[in-house]
Amino acid sequence: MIVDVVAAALFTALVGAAVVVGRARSTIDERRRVHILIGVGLVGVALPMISQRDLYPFSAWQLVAITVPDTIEVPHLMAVDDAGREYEVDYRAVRPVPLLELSSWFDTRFKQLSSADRASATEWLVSRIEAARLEAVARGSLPEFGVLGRVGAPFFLLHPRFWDRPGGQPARPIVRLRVYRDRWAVGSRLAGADPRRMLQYESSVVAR
Amino acid sequence: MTARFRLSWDALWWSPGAARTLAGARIVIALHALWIIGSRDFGALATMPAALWSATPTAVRWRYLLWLPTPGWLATATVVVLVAALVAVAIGWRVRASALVAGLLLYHVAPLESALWTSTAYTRGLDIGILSLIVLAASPCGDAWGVDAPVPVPADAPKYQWPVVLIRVFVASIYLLGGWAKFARVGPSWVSAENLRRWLQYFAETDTVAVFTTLGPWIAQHAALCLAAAVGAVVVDLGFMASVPSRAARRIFLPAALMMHAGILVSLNIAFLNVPQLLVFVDWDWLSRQRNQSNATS
Repeated sequence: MIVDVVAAALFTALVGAAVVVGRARSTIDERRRVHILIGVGLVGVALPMISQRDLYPFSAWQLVAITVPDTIEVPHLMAVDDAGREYEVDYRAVRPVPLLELSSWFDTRFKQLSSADRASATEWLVSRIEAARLEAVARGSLPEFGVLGRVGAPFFLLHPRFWDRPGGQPARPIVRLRVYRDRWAVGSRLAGADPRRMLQYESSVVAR
Repeated sequence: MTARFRLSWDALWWSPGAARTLAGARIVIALHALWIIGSRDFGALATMPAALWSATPTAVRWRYLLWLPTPGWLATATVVVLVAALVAVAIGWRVRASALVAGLLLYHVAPLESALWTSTAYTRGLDIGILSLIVLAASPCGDAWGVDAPVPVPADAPKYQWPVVLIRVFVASIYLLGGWAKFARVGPSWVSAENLRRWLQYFAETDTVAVFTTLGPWIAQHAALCLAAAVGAVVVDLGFMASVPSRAARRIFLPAALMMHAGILVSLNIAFLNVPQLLVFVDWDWLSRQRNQSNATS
């Protein structure tokens, strides 16, 4: 909460400083006001650096600033068709939610939802995936996010186009979602081992 | 010491700058933000069912003035106004007001991408854009290459210098803070072959991320390459800030950063969305003069 207040205050100060620069009455006055704007900008850069707190849009940029543990655990979503067969969820099938954000949401906030909200949210997601499947069947492929299509910005973490792979696209209606946690020793999968897959949540079947 | 610092400070922020270089930075920032906005579905995100947003903390909602779920008409109107404001910034129409509106709306819209689970949207590509638009709103960035620009282009002046420097500081802070965080959170052991090897393996082994799966695992098999990559990354991270005051440093660190991002893309499967913003380090005025001379000669 304190971080939220500080971050909001910092951004407000930047906006305020920018607004008053435009209202300066003389060159000297403008220079003084610009110095304040520069000062707020530099404090905004320094504070996340010193505190190691993200004060968005002043970010701490903690890019890969951890070490990878011996054992990795990541959430993994799978779509299930009406014959019980599992498919990878293509990142384009859960538009408008980016897959990384959705996986992280299942890993964090989803646990805080009431059971009614869980059912409602996953039912909506299953509907999105099924709608995407029908679109993929009709068009032969899935559209990218946004209006820019293939020239659009990728996501920070790239995602494979699972449904463009042979056999990757579900042929039958998607009726439920499963959320797993995959666990493996780092390096072991490149050596041919499979991850240990643990079921965390399974949605109800969405009637078609 | 104080006098020397003051001289350096003034030379950095208050030297005469070129209107075209500031205008170039304005266009880069606006087009980059439009690229990201056009690559996501912010309007649809805001209107997702309430159940998905039900665990989003109150602090996140008020901090970004998010009304979740947002009524469809309001979400659409917000994105339309944001795009219009960014286009206005790009073409230099009513640019101070447009930049302020774009910066404020971008601050409101950008966190939607990750607000489902976190209060920060860094690495999603719009943070530097937000900060830069607010700075542009305080500057005469429409004095060149814009529909409202005076003719001829005004002479160099300090008012065209400090905004470019501040925007460059914001972009360069990505690297400085990125390098600093590695030492603050992990320590010197971050710069080791073993650490890099694990990162390369981790991204190559994660099903939902593994697009490029050849180079990363290959580098991971060679300890010397892993160590070189770790050292190189930290050198670029910690050295890049020198590109703000120094043209010589720019010639080294800009290509180095581009090479680093290309390497990260194909080995770690990370697409760093701020890369196009490195164009704010280009001396657009010099480029423009070269082009004019070339045209005059031919």
